[in-house]
Order: sequence, then C-alpha cells, then structure tokens
Amino acid sequence: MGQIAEPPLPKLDLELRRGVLTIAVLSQLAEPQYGYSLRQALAAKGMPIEEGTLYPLLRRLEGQGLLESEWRIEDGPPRRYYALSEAGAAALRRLAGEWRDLVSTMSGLLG
Amino acid sequence: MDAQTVIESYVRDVTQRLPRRTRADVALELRALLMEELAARAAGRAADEAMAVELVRGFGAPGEVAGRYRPAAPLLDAADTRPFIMAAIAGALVIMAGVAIAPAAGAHPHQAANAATGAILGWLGFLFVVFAARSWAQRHWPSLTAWRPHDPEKVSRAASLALVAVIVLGIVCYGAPTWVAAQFTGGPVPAWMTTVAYAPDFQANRLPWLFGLWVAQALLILWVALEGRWRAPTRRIEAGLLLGVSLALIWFLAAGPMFQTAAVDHTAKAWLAPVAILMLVYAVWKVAKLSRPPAPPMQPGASSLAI
Repeated sequence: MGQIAEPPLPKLDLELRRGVLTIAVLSQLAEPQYGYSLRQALAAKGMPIEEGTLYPLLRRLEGQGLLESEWRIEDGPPRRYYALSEAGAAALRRLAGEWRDLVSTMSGLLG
Repeated sequence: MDAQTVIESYVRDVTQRLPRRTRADVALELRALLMEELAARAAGRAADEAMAVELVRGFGAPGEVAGRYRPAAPLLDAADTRPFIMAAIAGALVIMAGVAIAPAAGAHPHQAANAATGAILGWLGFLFVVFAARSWAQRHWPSLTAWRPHDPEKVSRAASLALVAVIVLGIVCYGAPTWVAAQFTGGPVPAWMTTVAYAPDFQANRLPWLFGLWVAQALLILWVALEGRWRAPTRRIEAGLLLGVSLALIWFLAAGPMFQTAAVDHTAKAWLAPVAILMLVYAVWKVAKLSRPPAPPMQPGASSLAI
C-alpha cells in the first residue's frame, strides 16, 4: 500500500469555509449593512471573514444581482449599504434548503 | 508617509487593475472601508504608517484583491500547464539540436544561435496563442469541445487511402523531380531545376533507402486499413518504420552532400535537421511507450479504490 502524505489541514479548513461564505453573507443581509458592520456582525456570530475577502465578495454578489446597494450618509462618512435583492432572497432560501440537506447528509456520514 | 497616504496609494494600485468604469466607485468604497478598519485598529489613537501598511498587507496584494473584485478567466487553463511546458521544452530541444547540427550543414554558428533564439521565442508565442485559443473555445463553446469517447486504434479507411496517396506522391516528386516539373510545364525542364539536382552518390545509394521505408509504411497503412484497426504487432512495425525513417534522415544529414549545389545542400539540410530530430524523438518515445508492459485489466469485483 502506498504511503499517504499528511494532508495540508489549514488549506482544507480554508476551502471548507470558502464554500459557505456566500450563504453566510446573504443570511445577514435581510437588513441593509455596510461592509465593516457586516464583518463585525459575522465575526460576532462566529464567522470571521477577512476584509480582503468580504468586500470584493459583496461587489461580486451585487454584480450577480443577489444584492442591491446604495450610498448613505448617516452618523459618519458616506457608506455603501448592501441588502438582499428579490433574487438574493430567493437564492438564500434555496441555498439554506440545500445547506440543511447537506448538514443532515454529513451528520449521517460522520456518525 | 502618513496612514492616509498609504491607504490612498493602496486603493490606487488596486483600482488601476479594474475596468475604468468601476474604478471610482470601488475606490470610494474601498477607501471608506479601509479607513474605518484602520480607525478600529487604532482604537482612539492616531493611526500611523506602520499600522496602515499592516492593514493593507493583510487585505492582500493589489493584483490579488483586484482579481477578487473582478475574477478574470485565465488566458491558459491550469490543466494545460503541464502540456504547455512539455510542448515548450520539446520544441526548444529540437531547435537547440538544430543549432548543434547547423554548423555541420555549413551554417555560421553565431547566425544559427541567433536564429534559434528567435525560433524558440516564436515557438513559445505560437504555443501560447494555440493554448489560449483552445481555452477560449472551451469556455465559449463547451458543447463543441466536450469530451467524446473515441477508439484510438480504429482507422478511417478514407484517411488511410489519402495518406498512402500522399506517400506515393512524395516518392514520385522526390524520385523524379525533373519528370514531375516537365509534366507541369508541358515541355522542357525549367533551368532552375538544374540547381536542385541530387548529388549522384546520394541519389544512387541513400535516397532509395528512404523510398523503401516509405513503401513499407504505405503497405502497412493499407494492411491496417483492410483490418479496420491497429493491433499491437502493427503498432510495433509502425514505430520501427518511423524510427527507420528518422535514422535515414539523420544519415542523410551526416553523410556527404545531398544536392550538387552547395548552397542548396546547406539550405536543405538546415530545414531537414529539425524535422529529422523531431521525428527521431517522436519515434523513440513511441518505441519506449510500446515497450512498457500494458496495464492489467481490472478484475470484476476488484475495488476501484485500491491503493
């Protein structure tokens, strides 16, 4: 039997987390948030995301029509607020369903 | 440099890599977010240069971040990396081998080296265009470029007959060039044909060997066309004949002149050298491949995950 090399665990963790970033972000945007506040909210709920990953992701999701954005000036500098679009809300429902199925399947596999 | 300048230079470096129409908008947002992150890290203190540099380094290299904002399709697919490198190395080796032989064929070594540098760069450029076009086609027309099952041992009879016709044509053209020219002109042989006349020794003692090998190749192709598919013995004969042809061409390069006129002889050998070497490399690879024992067929019930 061939010798199996030790897998690069940190990278595997990263890949696992990367797969759930989109659903995590969409799940927190029922109410409008700007990039920094969203990052804080996700971190507070145990899902820290690097700023260099999150901010471009918001723009890409907006480009895909899943988010809508607008500039607002409230208590501070101008900020771009993002919220789910109709398509984003539908995508979130579908992804949430798939996620629950996946969790159930994985629980069965992992025992 | 203060923290604000660090942030500004970083935002500029990121947005310069983005499409012009999105730059201002992304810059405005990115600057605001980075300033907010910086203020949070400073926690009430005045942010300094070191703090700003640490923040933007953590954010990522500008090219990488720009790629996250606007992921672009790669010019070459990652899966093509190995074939590209192998083709580049094989082509470069053939060209360099041509340079090594060129002085023997009468070319000046310095000129040959210069020509080789240009040829290698040209080869790399050609490969890049071919692979990039293939990647582009695969992305734009996935159904056209989708994998289809094929049997590499099955032969097309029409293609086989066409190949035999090409071989016969080659034997006639190389064997009796003046006769062929006379058929086209309908009269006397053009004067320039005398400058490309074969050296008598080459025509009498070496060229017939090549024709013999070509005839054998044509007969083999006809035989395989009749059988309908390649089999292990015919594949071995094919590789042996290919090796024979490549060795014959190298013999032509190394033995005396092929043409009576020295300039024509030098030019012909300069063209023949890379062809002969490429063919030899391919023939050796084919022979080596056929020499390897075939993989045992999978037994029914055997685990497909066995290590």
